[in-house]
Amino acid sequence: MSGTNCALTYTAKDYKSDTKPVWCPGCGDYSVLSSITKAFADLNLEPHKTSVVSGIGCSSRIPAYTTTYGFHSIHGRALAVGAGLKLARPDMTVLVAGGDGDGFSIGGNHFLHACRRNVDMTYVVMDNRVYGMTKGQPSPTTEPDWDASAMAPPGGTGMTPFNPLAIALAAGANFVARCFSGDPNGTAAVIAEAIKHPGFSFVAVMSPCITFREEQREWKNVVRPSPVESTTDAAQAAKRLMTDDGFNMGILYRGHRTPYSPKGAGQASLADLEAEFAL
Amino acid sequence: MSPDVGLIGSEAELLAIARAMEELAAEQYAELAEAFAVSCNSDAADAFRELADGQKPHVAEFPPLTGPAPAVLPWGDKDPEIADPGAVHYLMWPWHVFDLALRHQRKSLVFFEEIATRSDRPDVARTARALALREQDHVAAMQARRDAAPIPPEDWDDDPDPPNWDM
Repeated sequence: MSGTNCALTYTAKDYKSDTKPVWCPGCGDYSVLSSITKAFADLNLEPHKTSVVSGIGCSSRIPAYTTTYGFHSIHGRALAVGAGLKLARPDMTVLVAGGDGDGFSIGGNHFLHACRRNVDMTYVVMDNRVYGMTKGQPSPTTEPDWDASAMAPPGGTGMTPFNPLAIALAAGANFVARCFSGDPNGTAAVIAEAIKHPGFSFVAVMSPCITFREEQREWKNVVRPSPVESTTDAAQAAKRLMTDDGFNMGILYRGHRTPYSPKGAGQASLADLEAEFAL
Repeated sequence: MSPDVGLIGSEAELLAIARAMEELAAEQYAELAEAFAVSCNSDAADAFRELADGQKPHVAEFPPLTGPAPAVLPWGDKDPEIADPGAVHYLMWPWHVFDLALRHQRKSLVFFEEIATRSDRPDVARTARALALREQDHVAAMQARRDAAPIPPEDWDDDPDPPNWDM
């Protein structure tokens, strides 16, 4: 940590803990961790006023690798924990992180309603289209014909993949973006924008699983910056998504809904809370 | 990859960029060393650690007055010196590690040669030529290091207990 007595200036390294990631060598999540810490540094967030909340899965190990406050919560429920934290401590920056299985399957319902509720926090999903931690089952974003894993049904699931951006937009997310882990600087810039944007911000990061989805190494050759700027018009964003092939990177939508802020949130004193729970 | 030569406005800027490339590469190799140590491939971990440590004298070679890295880097997100983390394999041998580093150093050499050829600023072109010559030495040294490493057998990536097992 460096800086003066008056105002500390943080670098990305200040947000990385001494705990070493146990991800597979080459996993895209290393880059996403770097992007998140870089975004924190770019915004000069104070670590003691920043929280990283996660669910369960490879990518959900991320709070342990940061020096901010962290909560490695339960499967699919990270958004509920993050929302509760933000409402209790509106002064904190809350970033929720996880994977596609945790966020879109086990936590699918929380995802929908977090978008609707529009609490001022950022949700970063590291999407590798597979359950990596449990050895390669298809996730909600897996292609319908993928059966390269012995854990997938022959011929694939046959199910239409979950479209996270379309669902986030339809459910009311106030900021929607897609990034690629192979572009850590670009991803950091988008995450910083997402944190700054009021309300619920959703950032889907394509993060290859080089162990169970080796073919995702090719993503780096097919992703491209989106040819159009972000829009504040949800209808236009939706139209773009309908013709999107999934490889356009960048900010899709910046909405202007007022973030959720219930009257009295975070105002209860300790004495009030004790009285509420008194037997 | 073609560098955006127009973004390099002075010799000092080019030196700052070149030093940033070495520093970032050292960080990347150190991170990969840790990743391979955690995944119990100690030979690859040692090789990446050797690369990370080897970057330190390269950084120290730059003049003390070399300024901080510019906010906008001419290679965008494709730093030629940094090993592509997606190019590693959990069973890779030290030979692969040094070969990976060699490929990236060759890219760096091309990068500086292009700047030397295309920059319309004489001071930038002159310094780029010097950096290209320096990179030639690095390439030669890395090639020797790779060739000194045992050549992996053809079945180096066969895993009797693969993560993605067959039924």
